[in-house]
Amino acid sequence: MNKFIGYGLGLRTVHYQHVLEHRPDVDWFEVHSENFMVAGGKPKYNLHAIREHYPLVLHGVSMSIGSTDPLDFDYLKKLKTLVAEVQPEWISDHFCWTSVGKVNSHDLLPMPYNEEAIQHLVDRISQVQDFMGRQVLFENVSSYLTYKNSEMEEWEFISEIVKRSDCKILLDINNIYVSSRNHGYSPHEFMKHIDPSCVQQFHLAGHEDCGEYVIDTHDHDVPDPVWELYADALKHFGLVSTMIERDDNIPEFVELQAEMNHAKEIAKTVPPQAA
Amino acid sequence: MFNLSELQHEFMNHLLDKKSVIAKNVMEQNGVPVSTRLGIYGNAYKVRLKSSIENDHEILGIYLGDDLFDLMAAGYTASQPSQFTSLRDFCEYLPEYLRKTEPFSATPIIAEIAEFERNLLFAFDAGNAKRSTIEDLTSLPQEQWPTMKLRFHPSMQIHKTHWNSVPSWQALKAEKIPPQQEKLDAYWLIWRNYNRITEFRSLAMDEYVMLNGFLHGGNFADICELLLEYHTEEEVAVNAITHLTSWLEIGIISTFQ
Repeated sequence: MNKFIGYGLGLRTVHYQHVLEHRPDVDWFEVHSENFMVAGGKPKYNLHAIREHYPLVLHGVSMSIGSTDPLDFDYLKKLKTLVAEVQPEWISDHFCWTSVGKVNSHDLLPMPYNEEAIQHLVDRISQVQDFMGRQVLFENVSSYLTYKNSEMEEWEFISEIVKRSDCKILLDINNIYVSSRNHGYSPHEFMKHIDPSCVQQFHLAGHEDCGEYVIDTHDHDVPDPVWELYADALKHFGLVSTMIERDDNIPEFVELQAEMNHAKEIAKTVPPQAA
Repeated sequence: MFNLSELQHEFMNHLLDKKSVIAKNVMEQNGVPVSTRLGIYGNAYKVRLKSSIENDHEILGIYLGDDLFDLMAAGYTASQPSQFTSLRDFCEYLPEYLRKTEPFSATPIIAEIAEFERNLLFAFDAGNAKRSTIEDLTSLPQEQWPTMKLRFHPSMQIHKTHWNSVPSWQALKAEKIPPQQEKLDAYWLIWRNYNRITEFRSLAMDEYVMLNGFLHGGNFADICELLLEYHTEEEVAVNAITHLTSWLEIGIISTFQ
C-alpha cells in the first residue's frame, strides 16, 4: 500500500512569501531538488522555513538516470545531503536521460524502449537506490518521437523496469496525454497496463496543443482532457498523492490552490472500493 | 541501428547543431515529419538556455537590447554547451565569452556588467556562516590585536572594475539611461546582509587595501603597515578600526582568529 499524503503544489519562488505569511491549506509541497543544491542564502532559508510547516517531496531533473555517461555521484551526494536536510516524504526523477558526453541538455530526453535500455536503467536505478538508501520514484516523460529501435510500448518498458529494479512510479497524467497524442496511442491503454501498487504520486499539468502535436509546457491551467484522464486514473489506481505542476506563466497562488482543490473534488467522486 | 550510447551522442549532436544521423533512427508517426519532431527538442534546448541567460542577466539584457542579446545568447549557447547539472551555473563563462568575442569585446563594459551580475548571484546563495559583532571585537584581549586575522562571510567579494559598469548597471536597474562607457578603475564590496539581501557599495582605496590584506592572510599589524601609504602613523589605527567597525555592522566578518 502506497502512502497517501493528500494534495500538493509545486513550490515556486514567487509564492514563498504567500506560503510563509498565509500558511495555505495545502497538504504538501514538491520542490525542485536542483534549486536547493546551493550553499546557503535565501533559497535554503525559505526551504527550511516552509519545511517547518509542510511535508515536502524532492523532484529532480538532472539525475540523467538513462545516460550512458557514468552516474554522477557528485550530484547524488548533493541530493543525499539535501535529503538529510529536509527529510522529504520521497524523492523522484524521470525515466529519461538529460546529458551525455558531459554535456547537459537540461531537457528530459526519451529512451528507446528496448531490452538494452531496460537493463541499463535497472542497473543504474539499483545503484542509485543503494546509494540513497531508499526507493526512488521515476516519472514518465512527455515525448515527441519514437525511435526505430524501440521494441515495445512505453508502458511495457516502464513496467519491466519497475518490476526488476523495485523503484516506484511518479505518474504524470498530463505526460501520458501529451505522449498519447504525439504517438497516436490510447492513454487508457497506457494506464491499464501500469500496476497500481507501483504508483506513488500523480502530477497534473497543462500543455500547449499545436493541433498535429502537443507540447508539454507546464505553463497552462490543467485542461479538460487531462482532468478527464485524471478521473479515469483514479478509478484504476485509487487514491494517489497528487500535485499540480506549474513551471512557467505562473499564476497567483490561489489559482493553483483552486486547481489543487478541483483535483481533490474529483477524487471524492471515486467509488470507495477503488479508493 | 544505434546502440544506446550511439543514439544519445547522435541526439546530442542534433541539439548542438552538429552533424547528426539521429533522424535515421526516428519513426514517421501520425503525419508529423521527423524533422518537426526533432525540431521540438532542438528548439526547446535553445529556448531553455536563452531563458536561463535572461533570468540571470536581466540588466545585461537591457543594456544590449534585443538584437545583441539574441546574438550573444546564440553565440554563447553554441560555444559553451552546459556542463552543469543546474542551469544556475550555465552562465559561469559568460563574462569570459564577452571579453573575447566580437562584437562584445569591443565594448568592454559589457563583460564587466555580466561579471558583476555573476558576483551578485554568487552572493545570493553563497554559504551561511556566523557573523561576528562589535562585542566580539571589543572582547578580544589587547595583546592579540597585532596578530588578529579575519575570516569573512562566504558571500563577501571584492569586485574590481576598469569601466563605469556598476554605475551603468545601477542606472538601468533604476530604469534610467546609462552613462556613456568610460574608464573608471574602482573596487566594489558585494555581500549578503543579515536579511539575506544582496548589497554592494564602492570601496575607497585604503579600505580595499585593508580588505585585500586580510583576505590574503595578513594580520592587523601587517594591515596597519599597508595603511601607512594612505594615512599618517597617528591616523592609521583609527581608520583601521573605523573600517573594522563598519564591516561588523554590515555582517561581513565571520570570525576573528
